[in-house]
Amino acid sequence: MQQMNKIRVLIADDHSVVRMGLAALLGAEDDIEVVGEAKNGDEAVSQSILLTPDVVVMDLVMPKKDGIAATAELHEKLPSAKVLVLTSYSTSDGIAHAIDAGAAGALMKSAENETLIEAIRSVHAGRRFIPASIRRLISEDPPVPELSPRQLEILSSITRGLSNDDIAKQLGISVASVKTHILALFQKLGAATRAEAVAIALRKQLLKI
Amino acid sequence: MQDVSQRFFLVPRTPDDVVIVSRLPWWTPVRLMILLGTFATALLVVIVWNVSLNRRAKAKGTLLAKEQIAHVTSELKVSERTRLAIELHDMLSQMLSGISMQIGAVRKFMDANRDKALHHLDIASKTLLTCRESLRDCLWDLRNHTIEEADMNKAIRDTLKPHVDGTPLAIRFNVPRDCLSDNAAHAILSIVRELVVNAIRHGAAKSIRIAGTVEGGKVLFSVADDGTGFDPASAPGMAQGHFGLQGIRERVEGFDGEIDVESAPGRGTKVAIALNLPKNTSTHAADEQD
Repeated sequence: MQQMNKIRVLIADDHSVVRMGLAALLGAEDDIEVVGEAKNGDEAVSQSILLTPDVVVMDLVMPKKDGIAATAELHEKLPSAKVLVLTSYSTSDGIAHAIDAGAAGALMKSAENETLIEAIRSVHAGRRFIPASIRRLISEDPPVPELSPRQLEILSSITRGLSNDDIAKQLGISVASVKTHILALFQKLGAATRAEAVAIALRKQLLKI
Repeated sequence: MQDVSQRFFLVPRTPDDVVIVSRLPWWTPVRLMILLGTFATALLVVIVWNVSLNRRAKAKGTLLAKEQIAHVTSELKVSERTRLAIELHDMLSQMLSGISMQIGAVRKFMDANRDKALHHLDIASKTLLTCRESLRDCLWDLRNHTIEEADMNKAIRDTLKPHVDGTPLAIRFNVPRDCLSDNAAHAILSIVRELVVNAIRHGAAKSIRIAGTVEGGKVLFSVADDGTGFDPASAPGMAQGHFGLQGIRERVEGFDGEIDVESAPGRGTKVAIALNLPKNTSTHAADEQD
């Protein structure tokens, strides 16, 4: 196969073990060439603009800028690059937001190697690649609307078992406004109790680490 | 009928003939009994009531204590579970993905390029070893509750216990545990462990100094050894399957921190790290309308 026809791929993942694995696996394919690597969302955008890859394999959870924000930015600045998001979490939230942001495909990191290669070829050919399992996940477990920074702070405090008084003291706000925030937070999460909110936060990995 | 013979009658002419010298006492045996009986009953009622009240209070107290314990335990479980999930995701799950992909490359190269196949196989097997060590450390941390230890010096000592075999450790970690989040404390303990393991395993260190302070919203800490040292520029890295330092760099980056490695052959190694502590939320809460 001609050098020119190779699918030029950029790998964005904050774990070097995964970057190395992806580079090894994709590099072994005759029709794929790994042109660059990025270890956060900022780099993913800047390297893509520099190297104009055909496909960006994008991890969802990365420091500095996460995969969703980077996907949105790439979709705007470099629409020719097809984004294939990879995630190791089996929750719909990140994937659904990334698809909304313009990702052409989505895959679990636990997917078969062959499926990953097929997905890259597929999005490069202009087709969407969203396996039925992910579509089912999104329809069965609708994503939580985006939480405000304050709501995230309060959710994190609740997860650590703090009381309303503790949270008010910690954030320097009144107990009444803590209660208001919690009410709005519970509504977004669809939770009725603190325990339920914590369970949802844990399951959906809502708290950035 | 004998009684009748001893009876007699006094018949006054008018009521005036009777003079009352003293009245009959109100106390009669019967009345006394009734009164005592009433008192005894009242006393009994009070005692029974008291005992039952006591019992109920005790039961309620036990219930409250149980609830409190359950609450604290579930809090612990939540934070422990969160941390475990992070650890499993950050270390094991990523490494397993990496291994699976490396093996995919091995399969592709197996016939066409034996050397390349062997190279990827080598990385896969080294990653697997690292996985096993991470899992062992993760389980050690869980069993020994190092993250709940209030004194960082002791937490560090406990974390290092399975790794130092008589190597003298000087630990001066002047960082109060309560200014670290669980995640930060766990990151610090993991980084220190990795550095100490490296110093002993690769540097043949005879003594190790561990120091830490808090300065301007950052935790500054270092691990220094008197081992063989190495040339940081030509040290084996990821491509050779050495993940240690890279793993530390990634952890440090997660905290938006910095790492400085100072080493030269024959001159020991000193690794200094600065981690940003999350901003105290109360300082910027003032910006908000609340």
